[in-house]
Amino acid sequence: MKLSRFKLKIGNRELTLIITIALIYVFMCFAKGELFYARSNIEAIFSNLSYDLLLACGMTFVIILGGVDLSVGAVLALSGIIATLMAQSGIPTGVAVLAALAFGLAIGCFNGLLIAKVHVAPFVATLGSMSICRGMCYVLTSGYFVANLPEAYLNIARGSFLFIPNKILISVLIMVALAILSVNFRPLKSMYYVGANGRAAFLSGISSDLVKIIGYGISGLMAGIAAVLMTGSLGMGHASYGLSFEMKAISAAVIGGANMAGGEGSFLGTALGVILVALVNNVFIMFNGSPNWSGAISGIMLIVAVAIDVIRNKIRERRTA
Amino acid sequence: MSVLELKNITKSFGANKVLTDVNMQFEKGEIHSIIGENGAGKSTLMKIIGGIYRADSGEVILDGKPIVMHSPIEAYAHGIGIVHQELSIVGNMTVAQNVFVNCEPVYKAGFINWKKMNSDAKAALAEVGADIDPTEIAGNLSVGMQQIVEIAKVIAKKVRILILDEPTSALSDKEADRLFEILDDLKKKGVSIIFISHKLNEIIRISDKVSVLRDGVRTGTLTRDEMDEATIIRMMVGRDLGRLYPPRASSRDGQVILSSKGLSRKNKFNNIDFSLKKGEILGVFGLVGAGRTEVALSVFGADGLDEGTVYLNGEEISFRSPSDAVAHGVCYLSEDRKISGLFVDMEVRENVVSACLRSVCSRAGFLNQGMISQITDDYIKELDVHPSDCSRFRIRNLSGGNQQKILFAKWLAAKPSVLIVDEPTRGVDVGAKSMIHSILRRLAESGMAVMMISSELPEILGVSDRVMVMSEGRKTAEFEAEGLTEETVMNAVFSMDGGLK
Repeated sequence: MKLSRFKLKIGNRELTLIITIALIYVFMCFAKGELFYARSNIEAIFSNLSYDLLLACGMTFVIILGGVDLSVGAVLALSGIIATLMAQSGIPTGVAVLAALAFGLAIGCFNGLLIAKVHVAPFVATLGSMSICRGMCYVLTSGYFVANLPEAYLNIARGSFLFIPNKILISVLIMVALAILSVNFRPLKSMYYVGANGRAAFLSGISSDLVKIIGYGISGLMAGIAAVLMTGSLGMGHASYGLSFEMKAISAAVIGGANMAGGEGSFLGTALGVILVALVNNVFIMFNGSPNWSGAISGIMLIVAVAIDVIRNKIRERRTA
Repeated sequence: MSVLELKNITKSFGANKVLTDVNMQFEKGEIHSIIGENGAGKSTLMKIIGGIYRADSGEVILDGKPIVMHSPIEAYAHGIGIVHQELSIVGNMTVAQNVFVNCEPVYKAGFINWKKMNSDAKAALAEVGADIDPTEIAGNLSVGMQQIVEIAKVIAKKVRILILDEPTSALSDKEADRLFEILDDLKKKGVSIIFISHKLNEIIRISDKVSVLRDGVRTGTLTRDEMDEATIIRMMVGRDLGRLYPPRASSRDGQVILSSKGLSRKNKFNNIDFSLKKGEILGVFGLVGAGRTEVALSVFGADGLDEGTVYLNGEEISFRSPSDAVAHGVCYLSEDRKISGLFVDMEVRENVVSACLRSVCSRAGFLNQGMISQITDDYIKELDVHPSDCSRFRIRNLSGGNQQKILFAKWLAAKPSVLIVDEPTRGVDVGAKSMIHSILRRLAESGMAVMMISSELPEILGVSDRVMVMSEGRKTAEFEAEGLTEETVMNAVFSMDGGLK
């Protein structure tokens, strides 16, 4: 009885990920001891992960809608440059931060408009935005760092609350909020319908265009938030920030169970996907592997996750078809 | 000796036994039909013959020798070909390319021999009696013609056993007639044909034998002179269905809820007037392509209108989008449940509330899960959906008839005052069909105005109170359904100024 229930649950993506992460964690605690479970190492894992977590959240919505957002990395860079340029020139921190968020949201909504109303393919629309934003970064900075930021701006990302660094706190809170809202909040729940069957959603009276614009808007907004945290944390803005972050976000979402065909995706899964990739990279470094391998490792994990999915679906089909 | 014989075929999926000890014999030059309710195991049986599934036990015997197949390609090698219910025509390729998909005639170096391909295609099409230009783009053909190309594609592989899975569900009567002539011709050439359909009249018309499946068991095989509708239905459902159609409206003087004047849309329909009364079912008949669905979609706000006015409760109205129409109580149950009706990979409960999300959430926009479960359970009970604990099942795992019931539940949950249903019983079995007819009548009696678009004439005559006929985008006639005959309606279809006088 107990065994069969356990079996049933293990088919579930989130549980598989939790078990994998736990196994790696326990293994590392024995293999490397103090070096691994020291607060500084765990914090290092998490601090790099907070940007990925935010972008992957936004990406999960977009993938649920059956699309993809390639622009998030570039939007992160440009939002960061806008905010740091403003903060550097003495504009109040609050205004600079709001500008970064508003810019991210606006680019996201612009992507959504192109996709929903003009029917541009998501890949193409967001590829265009990506090039524009990345290009604008260099136009605005000529490739120089934007440094000398006021203390107040830096403190947003560097401060901490109850011993938890702000940027980890912010990204985890946003993640949890979106995960809860996506189940029960109508405008977000509608995304699953639109992604699962756009025509049926439209004929069911769901405003699919609006839903798409909201989805891409959230994705852009997440990039804006990540930009403020990243520039604050590193103390400067630069045109090369966020390079290929969109690919990391897509990988994390897919490892977490999102279906590129739309209609399926889980925020808990995405979060676990982000953590797993970060953990594996850390493990690799702990064993004195070159950090240059990190891209290749996440690629391998992505393909393994998708392959496991395909195999599992085949088994399920054979059982139930 | 039979060409193909099935011996004690048994097949289960998990704990679910789909076929139990099925025996059948198929003879050369014979049309052998298989009929049964949705979920009776017809498709599974065909997939076993076609090499897609393997039976758990039992034998497939071809020319007296047991064969084991691992893929559809092996089935083709044995001369067995299936024309599936869903067309697999590639719309932007030519007819010839479609016919020879994956077996194009080539020169030695591997380049395609276009000249030979086109002439071979011409010959293959001639074999099925069709005069279609092989260089035509397949997407430009009518659905009926595409169906014939699909058959030519299978025949071109020199099959001896041809399986057709509901080939007429998307065809007009005229196109279906054409198809039957072709089948008759193939039969005379010695091909064994296995024909699967839900339409009793078709089966009786063309089959030499009919085998009936119920719950995975063959309940009998009838020869040509034993076949009649009542016997077949009894063997299918295990009981008499009683009245085939529900009674007509008890009162005909309800007020007009939805009406239109001079609706036109370029190249789709022209000058359509209709009126829907409270408590009444208006049947809309026409051949495929008559413009019925297009009118419904335009009224519903999914497509635009070029001219004309729609009135709701006497007031002029124009729905900007389906969500606008739904908010005004006008609902449209689409003709293809998988493509535009249901979310097949989502749960039953999510589907049931998909058209009434606003009414199941708090003012702040949070969904009330308890309410969703309640509504779902109520409709599962009311519409007798099987299994009764399917609330969290994915739609994909329900049978066709039960999927259609969920589609009804979805629109009933939106509390419409006007319900437009498009081909409400396409691809569902006799039992579910009669259930859906009585649901429609019950809805009308409860004060709803119902418009039923259908291509099945007996259904139109049996269920409607009034019948509107459309042909090539125009309304050609309107009749009282009482005492109306099939001939009168068909005359109205083919004469443009039939009953308008």
